[in-house]
Amino acid sequence: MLPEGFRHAFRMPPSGKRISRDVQDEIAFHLAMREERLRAQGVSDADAPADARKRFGDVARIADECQAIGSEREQTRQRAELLQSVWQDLRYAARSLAKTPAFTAAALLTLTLGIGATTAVFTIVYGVLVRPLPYAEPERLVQLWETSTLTPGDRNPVSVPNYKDWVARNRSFNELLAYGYNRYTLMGEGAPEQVQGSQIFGDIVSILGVRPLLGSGITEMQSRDFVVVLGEGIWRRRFGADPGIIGQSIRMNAQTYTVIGVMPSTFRFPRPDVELWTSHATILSDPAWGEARGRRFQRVIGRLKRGVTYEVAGAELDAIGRRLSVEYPDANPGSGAALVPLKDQLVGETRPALLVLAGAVGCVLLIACANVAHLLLARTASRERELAIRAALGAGRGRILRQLLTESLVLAAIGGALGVLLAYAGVEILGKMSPEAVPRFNDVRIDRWSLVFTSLAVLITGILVGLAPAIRGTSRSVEASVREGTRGAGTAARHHRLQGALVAAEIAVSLVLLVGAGLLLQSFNRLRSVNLGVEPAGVVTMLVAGSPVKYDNPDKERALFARVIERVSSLPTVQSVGMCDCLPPDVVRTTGSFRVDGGSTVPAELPVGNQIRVGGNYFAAVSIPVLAGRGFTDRDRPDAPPVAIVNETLARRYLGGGASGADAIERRVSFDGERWLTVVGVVADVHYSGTAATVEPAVYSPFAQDPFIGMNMFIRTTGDPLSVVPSVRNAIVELDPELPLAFVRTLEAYVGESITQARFNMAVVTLFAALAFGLAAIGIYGVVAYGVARGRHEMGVRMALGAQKNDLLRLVVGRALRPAVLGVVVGLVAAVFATRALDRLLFGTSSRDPITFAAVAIALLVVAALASYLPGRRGAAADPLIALRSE
Amino acid sequence: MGDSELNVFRNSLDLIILKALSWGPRHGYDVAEWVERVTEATVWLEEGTLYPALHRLERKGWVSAEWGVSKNNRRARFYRLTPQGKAQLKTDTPTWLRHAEAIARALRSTSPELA
Repeated sequence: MLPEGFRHAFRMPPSGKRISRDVQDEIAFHLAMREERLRAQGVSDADAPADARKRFGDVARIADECQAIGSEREQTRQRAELLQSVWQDLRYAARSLAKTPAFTAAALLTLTLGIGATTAVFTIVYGVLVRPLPYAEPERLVQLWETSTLTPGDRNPVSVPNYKDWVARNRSFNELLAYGYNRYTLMGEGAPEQVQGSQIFGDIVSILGVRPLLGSGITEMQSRDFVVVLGEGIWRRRFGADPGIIGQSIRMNAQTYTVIGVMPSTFRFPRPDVELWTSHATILSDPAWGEARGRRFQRVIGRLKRGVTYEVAGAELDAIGRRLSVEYPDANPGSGAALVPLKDQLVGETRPALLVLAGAVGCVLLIACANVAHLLLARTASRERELAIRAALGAGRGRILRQLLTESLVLAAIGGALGVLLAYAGVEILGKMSPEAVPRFNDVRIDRWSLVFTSLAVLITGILVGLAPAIRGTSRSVEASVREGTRGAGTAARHHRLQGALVAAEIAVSLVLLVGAGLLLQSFNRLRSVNLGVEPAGVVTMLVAGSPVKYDNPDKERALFARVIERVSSLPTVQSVGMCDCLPPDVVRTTGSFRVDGGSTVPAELPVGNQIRVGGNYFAAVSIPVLAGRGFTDRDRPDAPPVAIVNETLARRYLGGGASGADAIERRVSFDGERWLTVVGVVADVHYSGTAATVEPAVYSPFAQDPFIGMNMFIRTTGDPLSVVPSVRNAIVELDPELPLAFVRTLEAYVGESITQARFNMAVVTLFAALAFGLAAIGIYGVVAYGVARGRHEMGVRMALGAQKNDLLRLVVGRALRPAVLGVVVGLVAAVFATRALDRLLFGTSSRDPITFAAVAIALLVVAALASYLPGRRGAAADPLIALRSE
Repeated sequence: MGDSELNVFRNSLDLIILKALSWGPRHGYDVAEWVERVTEATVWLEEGTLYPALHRLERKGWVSAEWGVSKNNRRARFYRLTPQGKAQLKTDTPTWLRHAEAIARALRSTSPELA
C-alpha cells in the first residue's frame, strides 16, 4: 500500500483513464468476493457469477456514476492545489520583497512613476481622442464648411441664404443646424453680466439627441421668436436654480427673451464657454445678416442619414456649393463645401500632440521597466544559491519561473495601484495647468477604461521586468550554481551582456525623449521670441460691446466710442487709448479679398488680407511704429475722403512700397471694388493669425469711417496696467450703466495664453524626458555600482598582480561606457525617425536639428561616464586584501 | 425539522457506511457484508448502490481511499474515515437515533389518547 499522500508528493495525479480502471477493478474485486462467498454457501460454480451480478445491480451504470464522481473530485483537488500553490508563491513573494525593503522601495517608486504617468496619459488620450461624443449616435454628426478656390485649405463659415439652400437641396442629412457665437449682456438683479451665447438656427435637441434638464430646446419653428435656453451653470448662478424659470422673461442686450428650457451642465455645445442658446431672431430680422449671401458667419453641423458615408455626403454637399457658386457668382466666387466628422473637428490639432505625449510616456514606462529589470536581475544573481537549492530539492524549472514571475507581478500590481493614485492626481494637475490647451479636457476622468489599461500595463510590465531575471534564474545548471556560490565569476560575462543590453536600451530610449524635448523647448523659445509687432508690456485690454439695439446706427456707435476714449484718456497713468476689432496676436474679425488700383479684378486672382478697424490711438497704444505717411487723425471723419493704412507686407507685396513703404502712400485699395480707400500711411507688420503663422497683408481703416459696435480697447499706462481697471469701469458705467466690460486682462497675459498649446506640449514632454533621464542615470549608476561590488574579487586579483588604481578605474568606466555608446548610436538613429512625429508641432525648428541631437548625445555620455565614475572610483580604491577576501 | 436533520434521513446510508468504517479501514465488500449483516439486508435492494455512496463520501472528504491488499491477497480499495468523517459520525448519530426512536415509538403506538 502506498503511504498516504505519496502519489500527491510524487506528482502522480490520476488521469481519467486511471479513475475508470480503478472503478472497474474495485467492482471486479467486489464481484469476485461475492462469488466466492456464494460458492461457500453452496451455489454452483456455474450460477455464482450471475447471482453475484444480480445482487450487485447494473454494473455499467454504477461504474459510470462512480467514475463521474471521481473525475469531479479530481478536478476540485487540482483547482485547490493550483490555488494553494499560487497563494504559496504570493506569500513567498511578499516575504522575500519585505526582506529587502530598499530594493522593494526603489522598484515600487520606479514602477509607480512609470505606470502612473502612462495611465494618466492614456486617460487623457482616450478621453479626448477615442471617447465618443456625448450625443446620440455621434458618428453620424459632421461639421460642414464652405470652401473656396480663393483660399484653398480654408474652412469658411456659411451665410444664411447659402445655409437655407443647403437645407433645401441636400438628400444626405436628416437634419442641419446653423449656429453663431454672440455675447449677451444679462440685465436684471445685480450687475450687468456679459456671457457667451450661441445663436441657434435649427433644432439643437433633436439633432444632438440630448435631453434638456427643464423645459424644451429651441425648435426651427421658434427661429424668429425671442426665446432663450439657459445652461445649468448660469441657471444656478444667476437664477438660483429656480424651477419656475420656464416661461419667465429675461432682459439681454436690451431685448426681452422668454426662457423656454435649461440644458444640463454636461452639455457643452458648441464650446465649453457657451452658457446660453438663443433663437436666430435677431439675425433673421436684420436683412444685413439674414439675407446677405456673402455674409459668412454661421457654423453648421449636420446629422447624416443612416447608411450615408462621409464621402457620399461630402460629395453631394460640394456639388451643392459649386452650383451656388454658379448661381450667385458675386457672393460665392469659387465656392464649394466640405464636411469633417464632428469629433475630428473638435479634437483638431490636438491629435498629433497627444500621440506624441503617448509615445513619450511609453518611453518613460520602458525605461522604468528596464530599471526594475536591472534591480531584479541583480537580486536574482545574489539569490542564485537559493534558487539552485530549490531546484536541487525538486522544484521544476516551470515552478521556479512561475515563482520569480509572481514576484515581479506582485511588484507591478502594487506599483499599478499606487500608479492609479498618481494618475488621478496627474490628470487633475494637467487639467488645471491648461484646460484650454486640450479640447474636451473638462470631461476627462480616470474611468473604468483607465483601470483596464492599468491592469494591462501591470500585466505586461510584470512579465517584462520579470522575464529576463526569471530566465536567468532558471537557466543555470544546479551544479555550477552551488559550486560558484554567490560570487558567480564564471557568469560575469553573460551577466554583463544582459545588463549592458538593458543600459543601452535605456540610453537609446531616453535619448529619443530628450531630443524630442530639446526640439520642443527650442521651438517654444522661438515662438516666445517671435516679434509680434506690438509691445504688450504695460497694456491692458478689454472688450467694450454695446447693445446693437441701443446703438442701432453708426452715429450712436461713433458717439459712444468717442466718449469712452475721451473719458479713459483723461484717467491718471493712462498714456494712450486705442480701439480695434482685432486682438493681437491671433484675433482678426474679417479676412477677405481686396483690390488695389491697377491690380487684377478677376475674383479668383484677388489678394487676400485682414480688414481691421481701429479707433483712438491704437497704433500708439500697442506701439506699432508708423513707417511712412501718417497715422489716423480726427480729420478722418465720416464725411472726409475714405482713407486706409496698410501694413508693410501689403505695401511691399502689392503697392511697390519699396524699403520704407513710402511709395504706397496715395495709392488706393478697395474691399468691394466700389468704395476706394486712399492709403495715407504704412505701419510695421503685426501678427493677427497666430504667433506661428506668417503675417498676412492687412488694411486698417479708421473706426469713424467704418464703425462697429464691439471693439477691444487697449490702454497703455505708466504703472501696473491692471490698476487702472476700476477707474475705467467707473468711467464707463457713468457713460452707460448697461455697458459691461468683458475679458479684462493684460495684453502680456493674453499673448502668453495664445501659446498655451505649445507651452503644454513643451512642459509635458520635458517633464517626461526629465523623468526618463533621471531613471536612466539612476539605472546606469545602479548597474555599475552593483558590477563593482560583484567584481571586487577580480579587482583584488588585478591589484595583487600590479594594476594601478587608474587602470582599474579606466577598466570599470570603460566597461560601463561601452553599452552607453551603443545606446547613444541606436538612440540617434531611432530619434531621426521618431522626431518626425514632432514635425507638425515644431515652429521654426527642424525635427532633425543637428545641434540638439549632438548636445543630447554628449550630455548623455557625460552623465553615463559620471554615473560609472563614482562607483568605479570606490571600487578601485578598495584594499586588495579585503577585496580578495570578500567572498 | 431543520435541513440538517432532514439530511440525516436522506443520508442514512452514508451514516451507516461511516459507522462501518469506524473500527478501521475496510474495503467496499467488507462494508457491504457488515451492513448486510447488521441491517439484515434491509438498507438496499442492490449492493452496487454502496459504491457511488462511498465515492461521494470520498469527494466530501469524509473518507479517504487507498489501494491495498485484502486478507486473501487480492488488490482492493480500502476506505478509511478522515477526521472530518469521524466528526460527522459523532454529530449525526445522536440526532438520527433520536428521530428514529421517535418515529418507531409513534408507529408502534396503540393508543389514540392525547395524554
